Amino acid sequence: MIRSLRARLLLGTVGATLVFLLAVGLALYGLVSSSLHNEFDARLGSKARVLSIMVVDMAVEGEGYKLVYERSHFPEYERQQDAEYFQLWRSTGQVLTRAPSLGRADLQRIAGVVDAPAFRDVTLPDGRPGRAAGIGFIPRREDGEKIGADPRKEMVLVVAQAIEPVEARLNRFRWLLGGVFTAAMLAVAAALFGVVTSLLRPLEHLANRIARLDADDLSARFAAAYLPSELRPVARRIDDLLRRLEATFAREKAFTADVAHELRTPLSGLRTTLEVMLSKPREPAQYREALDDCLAIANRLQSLVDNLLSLAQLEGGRVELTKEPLQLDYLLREAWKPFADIAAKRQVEVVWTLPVPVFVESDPVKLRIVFSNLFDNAVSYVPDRGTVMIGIDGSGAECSVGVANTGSTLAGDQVAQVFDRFWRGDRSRAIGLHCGLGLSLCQRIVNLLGGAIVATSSVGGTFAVTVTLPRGVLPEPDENLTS
Amino acid sequence: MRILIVEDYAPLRRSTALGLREAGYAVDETGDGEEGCWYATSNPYDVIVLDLMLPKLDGLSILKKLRAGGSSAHVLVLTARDALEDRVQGLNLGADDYLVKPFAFDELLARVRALTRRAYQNKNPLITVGDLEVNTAAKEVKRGGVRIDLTAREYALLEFLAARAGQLVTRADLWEHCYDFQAEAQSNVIDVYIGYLRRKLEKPGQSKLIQTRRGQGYVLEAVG
Repeated sequence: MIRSLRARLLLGTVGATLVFLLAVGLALYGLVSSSLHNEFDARLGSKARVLSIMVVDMAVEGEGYKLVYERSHFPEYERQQDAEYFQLWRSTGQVLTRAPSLGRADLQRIAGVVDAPAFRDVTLPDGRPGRAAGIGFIPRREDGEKIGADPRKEMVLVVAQAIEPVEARLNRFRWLLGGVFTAAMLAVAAALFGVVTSLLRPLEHLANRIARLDADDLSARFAAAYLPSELRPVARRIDDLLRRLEATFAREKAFTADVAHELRTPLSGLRTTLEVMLSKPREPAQYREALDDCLAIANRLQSLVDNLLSLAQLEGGRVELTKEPLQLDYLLREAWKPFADIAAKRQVEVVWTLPVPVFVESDPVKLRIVFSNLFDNAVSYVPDRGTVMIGIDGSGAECSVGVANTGSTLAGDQVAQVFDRFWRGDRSRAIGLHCGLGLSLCQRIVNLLGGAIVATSSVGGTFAVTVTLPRGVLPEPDENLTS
Repeated sequence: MRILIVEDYAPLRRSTALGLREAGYAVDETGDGEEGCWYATSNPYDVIVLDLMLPKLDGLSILKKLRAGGSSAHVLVLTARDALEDRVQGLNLGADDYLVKPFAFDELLARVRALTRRAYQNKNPLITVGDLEVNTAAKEVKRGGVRIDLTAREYALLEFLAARAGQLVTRADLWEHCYDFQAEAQSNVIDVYIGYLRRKLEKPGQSKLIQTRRGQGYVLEAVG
């Protein structure tokens, strides 16, 4: 299998041309050869007829049959070099006369009729290949009177001649044909090579330009007008690919920048707090306050890194779900515990709506991450003395968990964007150092669990996130579980 | 020297303000863009330390408003983004310096000092008035080659006077540039500190340096 397009194109076209030219050449040669042979035969036949006319019945003069001709007019039958031959037989097979050039040798006796001589390839007495034409005829009488058909009076005349002139002409023709054929082939091959090379140049050009592509700059586009129309679909696909890659790269770059930003701000707080504290000796109370700050920053950094890692795992598809039957209201209360103190400190009222124990089949570890993030957001954004509402609706085919807080700063049309990674509430600031990733993470986990997550908001009103989860396959209700 | 810090990340804002106060600056702080803008336009700050990402009003908008209002306060921009275009945009809008988070507090301090020197058109950190030397970089004061220990507040007052040596400085100027909103609002606090300064600078047998212009203010100059 030849991989090169150029070689395949060239081989294919040159091969086809070769076959075509060969066929044309052979047909032409056959045509010319047969016409030359026919012409030769026709002349040979004429010669036989001419000679046959000169055989006369001299019976009246008592001399019998005789071939009468002016020998000087027919030198070809006289000479030894490049001679022609004839031989005349009676019907009895007795040789009447021979051409002088024949000497005592015999020609092969063949007989056709006057209008259609019999032809045969023969070897001439001097060894040359030749051709013979033979006719059977009844000679005319001296007085010109025609004799009726009498088989006893029939005679056979064979003339023979070297085939050489025909062969020589055919030979010349073969050389001519071969020359023309070779020249044509060379010309065609050269032309094809040029055409194919020029046809493939845009491909090479395209390849070179693609080779120069760099991950740092994906702005190049190839579907330019100068490309042949056959290549344009390819170039368009490459452009599409580049566009997608560029968008992905840009998103990744932005994400990395965002991550750097989200990490730098708390780090900066940590560093400055420590540096200022270390700049001179201080009271224990001041140290305690600073250490509290540093601990809070470290916690924030840890949750950011945890979320980043979870998100990376989710996006990398390297995540396994361990679904098991679980009591949703219990899980919610457990997840709330770390936030209860903060809420109490800020005098936030917490309203629970948990009607009955609700069971689902899901991944408790993943759900815990979701609820922790939702609670973290709610507690971070609810104003002091505001309200956080946590509830379960288990009445439908699916069950939903709602987490809401008062004092929303988001308009309703902004709310879909909170699930973007590091979306910022307004252009001037991160919506939250933790939440920028948190809701994005929640959405991915909930989708993975086969559920849905929706956010609603009104400025100055309530920001609410509702997570809908499929119930999954649950075992028969068990007394021990519900108690 | 009075400084405004506009930074929404509370731990960073608190510790930066503390560090700058301990370095002798009068510091106001806020974590809110709108409030920061109001502070910056209504008080004569020498240096404004400005974060770019702020709630309500972002740092670049504050900068734009400040410059549009003709404020000459020196602005040190803080940001967690170190993309070139962010830097260029900040400097084009009239920021005087740029610091990427996280930074060393000493570097912030050095840059703030450089900006306050620039505020008084003084590239040289050493100000000399008669036999008094004020090294604004090391925050060191010498008279006749002898080191004098000053508290941060005393030093701030002296540096402000030294930067305007030979010029009249009113009490109001001193109040605005050397005291922040947290300072005790006593009308005679300036006079009290000037008294402390005189006691330390003008030892018996030495000439007077801080001259009182009754009913107007003070002038720092070597007389005679």
